[in-house]
Order: sequence, then structure tokens, then C-alpha cells
Amino acid sequence: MTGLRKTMQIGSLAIRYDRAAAIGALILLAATGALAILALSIGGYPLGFNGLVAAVSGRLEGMDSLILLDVRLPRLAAAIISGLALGAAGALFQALLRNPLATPDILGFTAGAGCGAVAVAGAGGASAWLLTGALSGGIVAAAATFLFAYKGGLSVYRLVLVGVGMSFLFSGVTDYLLSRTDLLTAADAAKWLAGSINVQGWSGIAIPAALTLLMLPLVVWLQFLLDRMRLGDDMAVALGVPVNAARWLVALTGIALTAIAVSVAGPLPFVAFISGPIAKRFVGTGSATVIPASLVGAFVTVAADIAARNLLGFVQLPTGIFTALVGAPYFLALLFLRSKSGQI
Amino acid sequence: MSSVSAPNRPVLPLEIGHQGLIFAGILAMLAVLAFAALVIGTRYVPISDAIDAFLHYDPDNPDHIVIRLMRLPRLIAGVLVGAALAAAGALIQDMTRNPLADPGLLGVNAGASFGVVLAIWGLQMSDPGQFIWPALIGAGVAGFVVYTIGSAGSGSATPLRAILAGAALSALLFSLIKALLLVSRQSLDVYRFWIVGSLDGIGFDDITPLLPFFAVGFVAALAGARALDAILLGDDVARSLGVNLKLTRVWNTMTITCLCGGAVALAGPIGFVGLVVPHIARALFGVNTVGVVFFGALLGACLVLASDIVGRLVFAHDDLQVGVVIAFVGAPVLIWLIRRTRIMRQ
Repeated sequence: MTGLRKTMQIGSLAIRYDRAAAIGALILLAATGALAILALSIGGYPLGFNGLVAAVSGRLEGMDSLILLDVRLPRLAAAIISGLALGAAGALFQALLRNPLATPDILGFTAGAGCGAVAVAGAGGASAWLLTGALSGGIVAAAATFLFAYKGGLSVYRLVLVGVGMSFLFSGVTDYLLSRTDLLTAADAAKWLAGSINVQGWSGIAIPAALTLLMLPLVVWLQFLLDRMRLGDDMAVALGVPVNAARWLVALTGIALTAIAVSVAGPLPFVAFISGPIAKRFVGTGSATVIPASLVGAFVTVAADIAARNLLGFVQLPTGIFTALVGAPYFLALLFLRSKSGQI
Repeated sequence: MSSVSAPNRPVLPLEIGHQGLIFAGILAMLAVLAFAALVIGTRYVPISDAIDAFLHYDPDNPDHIVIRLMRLPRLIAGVLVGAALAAAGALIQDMTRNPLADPGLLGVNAGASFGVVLAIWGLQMSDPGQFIWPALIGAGVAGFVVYTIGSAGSGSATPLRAILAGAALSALLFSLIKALLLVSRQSLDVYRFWIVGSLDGIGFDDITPLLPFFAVGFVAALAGARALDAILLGDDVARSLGVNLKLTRVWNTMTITCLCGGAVALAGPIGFVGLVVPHIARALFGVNTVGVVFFGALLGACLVLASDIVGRLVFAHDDLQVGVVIAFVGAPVLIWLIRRTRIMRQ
């Protein structure tokens, strides 16, 4: 544990915070902000930095204003929201199960959430219900994965492998559902399943955005519980942490955040997985990493979305392709190093 | 070792006579499935017409054309693909002593698919008969990468490492495939005739150039299988029995590549056949790699044919059926196997 916990006094309110994590989070915030400005200014219809300055001073009109306010900004918001949620969810599960491989995308929860959302879309449900479908699918997938991995105890590695199997099963169900819907819905859903941030205006992301922002304080609080639980269950109980209740709360929060992200951007692969380890590199191990991890998630997703929109000019690629291009090699490298050092 | 390897079970669960009966049963099942595959489909063809299509072929009769030029090649492709994937799965499982091995799970099929799509895109390849070469190279490279990562460090590859490496590599390669297809509309058009994991639209033109690869693959699989029995007992025992470990590994790796490359070039990546079927074959015929390869090939053909028929009956208009139907069988089997296998060294 680091001895870098500081206490900030604001009136009668005392907030304990982790200095390394706070500094790291500020740097990540600045980096994400810079990336966001880039995301807003470039694209098939370039606005440039001047365009943004004009927008801030209220001098932006016509097409420029339409592009910025109704196209770029909602899309940027969607990328940030889904990245924040996935990064936080990944770091929560990594801390809960004490293993970098244990994230919602690897454990099959995102596949379950995607399946649930497709079921709702296929049944003709309005987009507001997508979140409900994603949440139900995510909970079912998580429950099934934990249930089938349980064998006189819970081995994280068995959990991970059962999660791989569950992903296959849920992708199969999704494929079946897609073959039952009309071709137009199926084509849309296929694009979304590849991880596409493709929002139409603000209506689709208002609720997910509000929910994510509401959950961030909860995530910070859970981080404190998880820090105590890292000392071992006995110690955590002695420190007054209701360990079992905390585990349930962490798992449910992680699943809810995953479902929110999936309902906005589809099952973006590997974002939840890479955010935690990168954040750890950044703020040092032993620090509170959930919030830095969520910022890394936002950074990665916005960067992937910029690449997806601009790299090939004439054709827009799903954002998920780029998160996979970054995440999968990272996963393979981690696996290689862990194998080499005999940890797996 | 041992609890990682599947064969810690009674060596011969059935008497020889029973095995003969089961063999006859499998052949009968294959015959029934083959007949059903010819008769069942969107277009209703009376059974008498289906038989007539072979006895008195009339090129002007649309029913006969459907049977001879559409359903028959599809049937043959299903048999070849199922047999090849099952045999390859048996070889991989025994060679790596990993009961959870499968060409799909270990990324070999993804590698072959990526090779094909890359060739369609980069070399403007459009004749399915040529797909075999990029498929072979892709399968070989992907298998090498997964094996390298899986066996890094001390000790042999564990099921855990191998599957995770395969899953991540597959995710990476399928993302790249998606990107290539979206970038190039032309690739997409060629690719559509080679839909991922489907037997739809396969003609005799697609099958003929691949037949030598399947033939070589099956013969090599049966020839190389005996040495794997010794390897199942452990490297040291195998060596003391006079088995050349390096030669056996190289031989079987090339066989697996050949079988998987052929299957993918014909039907795209289909997972789980190689996982599920060898376990069934072992349960029926005991642990004996030659037997598992031979009977597994027959059972694999049955599984793919049955899945294709179920797909045609259940799925409305999408043509992803075979792979999807098999996933419904394969994923639960995978989870069941994970529960009863020691997935990592302790």
C-alpha cells in the first residue's frame, strides 16, 4: 500500500484521497480533453480549431453549428460515456477477482449484454429499452458464468475459461436472433455488435450519460471498500467492511456499467480489459485505480473513434475494430509474459 | 501430467463386438443423414425424384438439378469439412495433451480465414480453388503463434494459456477481417460466396481442387496417429518407446494445417467440431489415436451434416447456420469439459 493518502478539508467535509491517483487522474483528464478537442475539430467535414473557438464564443452558424452540436458532440459524449463505464467496470472486476484477465469482456458479460440488447431490438423494442435488455443479458451471462465456474470454490482461471465458452454461446444466440429479424434490423445490429459508436443526436445517450455520472461517486466509494478488501477478508471485516455485501455491490455495479456502455456503443472489445493495467502503470500499483482506469477507458475509446472516423476518409469503420487492434496484442503480450514467469 | 490429458479412463469401455455394432450404427446414421441432407431443404423434392436424380438424371428437370448440382456438393462438402475438422481436433488434443483443444478455439481457423481474406483483398484472388494456399499459410502461422505463447516459460502448454491465446488471436484476426471487408467492397463481393462458416452455395468446382489436400490430410492423419498414443504417456515414455518426438510433432502439425486449411478454404471457419467429436469417439471406442481419428472423422461428418440440416429447418434467411448450430452444441460441451479438466499446472 502506498502511504500517499492525503486528506482534503473543505469546510466540515474531509475527503481522503490518493495523491498518485489524483495526479494521474488529472493528467489523464487533460489528455482526454485534448483528444476530445481533436475529435470535435477533424472529420469528413473539418471544423478546425478555429471552428471550436467560434462555437465557444457563440459565433458558429449554419452547417458548422449543426455538425458540431448535433453530430460531433453527441458522438464524442457517447464515446466518453461508454469508455468511462467500461474502464470502471473492468477495473472493478479486476480488483474484485484480483486478476487482470477478469474483465467483463473476457468473462462474457459484454456478449450477454449484446445478446440481450439484440433480443430487445429484434422484438421491435424502442431504443430506450435497449439498456434494459443489455442489463438483463449481462446479469444472466454473469450469473451463468459464475454458476458454471463454481466447483467447490471459485478459481478465477476457470471463471475466465467458462466466460470464453459463454461468449460463444451468447454469440450463437445473437446470431440466431439476427437470422429471425428483418434484414434491415439485422444489418444495423451487426454493425452495432462490431462496436459502433453511431448515435443519432442526443436522445439516445441522455439516460446512459446521466446514469454513468450518477454511478461514479458509487464507484469511488467501492474503490475504498476494495482497497480494504485487498488486505484479506479478515482484515477487511475487522476494518468494518461487510465483505460479502461489498462483493455483490461491486459485481452488480460492474455489470450495470458494462450494460450501459454496451447499450451505447455495442460490445466494444478489450476496453474494459486494457484500462485497468494501463491505469496501474500510470499511477503506480497499490493506488486507487478505478477512476484513473475509467479515464483511460474514455481516452482509448475516443482515440479509437477518431481513428475509426478519419483513418480511411471514405469509409467509416466500427470503433470496436480499433479497440481490438490495440487490446488483443496487449492481451497476448500479457499472456506471454505471465506464461514465461510461470504465473499461469 | 495425466489429469490434463483426456485418456485417464478405462482403456476399452466396450467389447470388440460392441464396437463393431457401434461402427455399423455410425455408418447407418451417416447414410440416413446424407439422404436427409439431399431431401430436406427450402424446395420440396419428393423422395422418388431424389432417387431418380441419380438413377435417371434429367438435366431439364429442376428437381434433379437441385439435387445433383446444389444439394449433392453441399452434402459432400459437409462430410469433408466435418471429417477434416474432427480428425484435426483429435490430433491436436492428443499431441498437446490438451482435452480442450480445437482448431477453432486455438485460432487456427481464424488464421486460415484471415489468410484467405488477405489474399482476396491484396492479390485480387477470386477463385475459391486458390483459397487453399493462403488458408494453409494463415493456419500455420496462427497455430505457431498460439503454440509459442501457450508454451512460453517452463513446462508444456496448459489448456488455459492455449485457449486464451487462441481467443485473443481470433478476436484480433476477425477484427482485421471485418476492417478489410469494409475497406474494400470488391473483397466483400468475393467474400460473400465464401460466407463464414457456411456450406451454402458450394459447388463441385469448389470441392475438386481441394480433394488432394483432404486425401493427403486423412492419410497423413492415420499414418501419424500411432506415434501420438506414445506421446500421450508423456515425452519421456514416448522417447523410450523409440518415438521421434520432433518428427512426430512436425508431421502432425503439417497434417493439422492441411486438414484445417482445406476445411476453411471450403466452408470458412467452423468451430467446436474438433473439440466435441474426439471426446465422443474416445468414449465409444477407447483411447487409441488411430481409432479416434478414424471414427472421429465419421462422427464429425455426421455432426456437420446434422447441424446443416437443423440449420436449414430452423434458420429463416440468414446463411450462417452450420457454425452457429454447432456452437449451440459445442459451447456447453466446452463448459462441461472446463469443469472436469485441470486447466492449469498446480
